[in-house]
Amino acid sequence: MCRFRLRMGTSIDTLHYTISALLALQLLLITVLLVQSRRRPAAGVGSQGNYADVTHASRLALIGEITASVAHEVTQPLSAILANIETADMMLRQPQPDVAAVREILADVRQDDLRAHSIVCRLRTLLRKRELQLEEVDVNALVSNVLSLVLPDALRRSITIRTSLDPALPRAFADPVHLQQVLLNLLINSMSAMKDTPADRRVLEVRTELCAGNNLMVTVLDQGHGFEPAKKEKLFESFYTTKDDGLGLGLSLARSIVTLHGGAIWAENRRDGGAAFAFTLPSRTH
Amino acid sequence: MQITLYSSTQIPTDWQQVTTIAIVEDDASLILAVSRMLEAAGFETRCFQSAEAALSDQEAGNADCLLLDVYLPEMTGFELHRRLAAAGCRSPIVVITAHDDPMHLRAARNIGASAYLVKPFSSMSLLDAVRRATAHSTRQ
Repeated sequence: MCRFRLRMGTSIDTLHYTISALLALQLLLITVLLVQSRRRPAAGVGSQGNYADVTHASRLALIGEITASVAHEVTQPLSAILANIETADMMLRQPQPDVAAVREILADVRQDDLRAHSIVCRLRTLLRKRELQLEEVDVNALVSNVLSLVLPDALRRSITIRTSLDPALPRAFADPVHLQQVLLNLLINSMSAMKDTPADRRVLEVRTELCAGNNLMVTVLDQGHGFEPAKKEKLFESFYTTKDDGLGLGLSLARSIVTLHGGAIWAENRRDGGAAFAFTLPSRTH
Repeated sequence: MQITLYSSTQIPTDWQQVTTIAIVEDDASLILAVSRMLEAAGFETRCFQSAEAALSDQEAGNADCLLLDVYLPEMTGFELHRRLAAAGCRSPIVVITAHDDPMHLRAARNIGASAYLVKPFSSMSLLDAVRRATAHSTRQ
């Protein structure tokens, strides 16, 4: 007879539902803020205070979309910690415990604790509201960082992630949090676009390279449904969306952020299907 | 055969010698921790960090029990099981997952899994699941 047991999933479910409710409120907030910024052109996206409000609210909504992914990322080290602690407890109950083995376990517990902490820190950084603060950014490290946040979600959607990161890429002069927001938005869009792609063709690729004018270019390529060529320019307009449940703000904010950095963002349909979204940033040497 | 529950320090010697658990889990830290736990309880383990690694090693299919994570980089644990079963593997299965998803629970039931554990799971629930799975296997 088969027996099924459910263990310890409740707290993650509760987190999920709570964040979904918050997400709905955040979307409402973004809409209000954008309507306000449109009514008062002088206080538009270029205005620091409003820019920080709108990008922050949108970032919260984005994070809501990767809640399951983040929960998975945190659950892995927590599971390892629990297993290691209980194993150490078992060992210490032996008449002659292997102290060296227990020490090794404790070292791994420490590593997993730090790993969980680093995930929380990455999330906390994204959740914080901030004005545009430019600094030197290692774009390759930033790409890897953001990919680690969406990787569990990609696995859940049977999407393979590939990267092609130029090791000689110079540093950018950018706001790392707002840059993560742009990339996160492109990655989530690309993953959603592959919903109807056969599982064995669901490949998400991220490339970094140095391009003309000493600019850095980041490209996100998918094998999804692409977009109507006639709507190419509308993609980056506020409230334009092809998603059933989207508000059409992500790409518009991505364009605002990239433009404020002195870069450009655009989209192309790929010849073999899917779309490529790319953006440039000036390098530190500009 | 009557199923007997053992405490972690009361594993029969013959079980310690013969019961091998194949663990397929992509998280390096977690697979090591689970392997340690099972070995401390007297099982032998074989660890595979990818579905491909498990498919290319006969020891996975010959294990007394398969501990399968649902999300693996190349394919799901369910797809891995389908391929192992097609190659003749009849080992009992314990499914482990970080996502408590009813679809996974159904899929686990469909492949005949003897237990479905949501991470983080306690040593008691894991050892109990593995013992029941291997006892079930012995009955057959």
